[in-house]
Amino acid sequence: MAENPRVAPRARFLAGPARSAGSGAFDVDAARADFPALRQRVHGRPLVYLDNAATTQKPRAVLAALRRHYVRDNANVRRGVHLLGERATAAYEGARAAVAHFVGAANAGEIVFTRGATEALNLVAQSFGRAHVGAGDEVVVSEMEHHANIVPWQMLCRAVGATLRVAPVDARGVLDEAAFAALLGARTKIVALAHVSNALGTRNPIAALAVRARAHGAIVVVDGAQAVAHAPVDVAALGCDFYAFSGHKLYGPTGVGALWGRAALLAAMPPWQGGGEMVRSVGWDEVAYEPAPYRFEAGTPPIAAAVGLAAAIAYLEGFDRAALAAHERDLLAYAADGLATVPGLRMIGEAPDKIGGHSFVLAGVHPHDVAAVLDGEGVAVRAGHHCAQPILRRFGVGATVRASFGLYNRRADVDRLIAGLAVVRRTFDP
Amino acid sequence: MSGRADLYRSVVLEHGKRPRNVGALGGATHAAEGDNPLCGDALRVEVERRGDVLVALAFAGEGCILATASASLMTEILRGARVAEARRLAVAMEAFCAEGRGDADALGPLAGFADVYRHPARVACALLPWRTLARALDD
Repeated sequence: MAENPRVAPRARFLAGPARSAGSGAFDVDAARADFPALRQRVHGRPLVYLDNAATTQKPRAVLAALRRHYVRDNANVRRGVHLLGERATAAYEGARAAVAHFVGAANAGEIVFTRGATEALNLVAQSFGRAHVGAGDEVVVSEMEHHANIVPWQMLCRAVGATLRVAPVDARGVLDEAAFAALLGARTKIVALAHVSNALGTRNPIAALAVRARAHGAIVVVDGAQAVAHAPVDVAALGCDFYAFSGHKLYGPTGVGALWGRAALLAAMPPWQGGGEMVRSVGWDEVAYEPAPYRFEAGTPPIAAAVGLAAAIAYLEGFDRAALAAHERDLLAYAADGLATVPGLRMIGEAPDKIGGHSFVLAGVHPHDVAAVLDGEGVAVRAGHHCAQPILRRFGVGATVRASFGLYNRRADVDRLIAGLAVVRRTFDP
Repeated sequence: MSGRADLYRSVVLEHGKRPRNVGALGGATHAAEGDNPLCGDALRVEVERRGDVLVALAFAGEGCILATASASLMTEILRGARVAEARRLAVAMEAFCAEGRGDADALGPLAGFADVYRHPARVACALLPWRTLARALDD
């Protein structure tokens, strides 16, 4: 799947030979050409898509993989003895191997395909959680979690009589590590943390936090939904026990995500949904389950979407990830500088280590009105609570505007955002 | 269409930026709270009703320009109206804002919300005051 070893020769020359992690600078204009959805006008203006934390656009390589699957290989997996069934199974299991490699898993058997990060977190809560968390035990989350990493734990705690503890963040949106450490104890069974906050952009120091949590015997669950598209992930280096993410925030299709779990943990976990594919044999009086990861994939899995996800991973890995990260860091800093010039703008989340985008509010203008006017200017941003109401309350706001970046965004997109905010101010003159 | 002139007509901007009847009523007989959790709009609507007539209305809370303008216009227009009239207008606004149905001429300044139905994400904003009022009158 060598569709895109995307390093521009000229840019590489300009970057010089001394770049640390490899082959050269990132050519954003070449990358943009891979995304058909970016080439459209909205409300008469060229689209500037800055809602990548919600979902990313899809490159041709992913669209082609989906089409190839449905045109040539479509069949159910792990069932048919016919050729198409063999091809579909090989592609689906190949996708599992690609995901395993992508997150640094020891082997493909540690990857469970799910509908997305949300389902992956629910799987851990319902399967591992119900088996290992009991009355009087505690689950620790951070204040900056997405609802997907709050509600499954609330449901678990209510069901088993456990307590949910919340580690606070400081005024910049950085996790208070001392307060976090103080919450940990013998009763802490699970610590669930965002790798990167979707509402603030804060990147949590998972490796350090995991060391502390595991010292108390807790299992560490990481919500990686906002991290995987922006930085290489190595679950071994992070030292966590479970890692969840979605395909569609990673330039892949919707409807597929993955859970990585330590093999020993997955092997001991009970199934959480019953159906086909997850069973070895079924009788009226007994049922024998497949081993992990299959026992967690009841029913026909998202086969085509998994194949598309593998294509997205191959696409992303075709870039020099260090150069890509440098490009995104530049965008984030450029946007922070630009936003700082907008009168009445307050940044929500000013952690020194941010990834993905910026959340902000404009004095006197509701975020929905900001987003509506920006949309009229061709700039797509998110306005709302970002499914992270507790952390917005912490900052005293009910909603924010969020501009979040993908690999195809460039400084000119930030300029359009800033110009759009001037139109917002002219419209509402707050 | 710079600045989204379809959604933000002058009457909406005018009432959204300088809303009337903000605060609490001393003699409120009916009140209700409503919110749109998705966008963080939250309003309290208070009504003073004497017999069959709404003698005063007020609102307080947080909302976007559409919700604020809608609440401001609603509390202006319904002062002195009969309860049945208020309910009729609330039903008419539902059809007008959610589906684009109804006689804009008969709605007076509320016709400023004519294009809201083209923006499904904003329908709940414009209707929040009216839905909250309906619940206030029910209790």
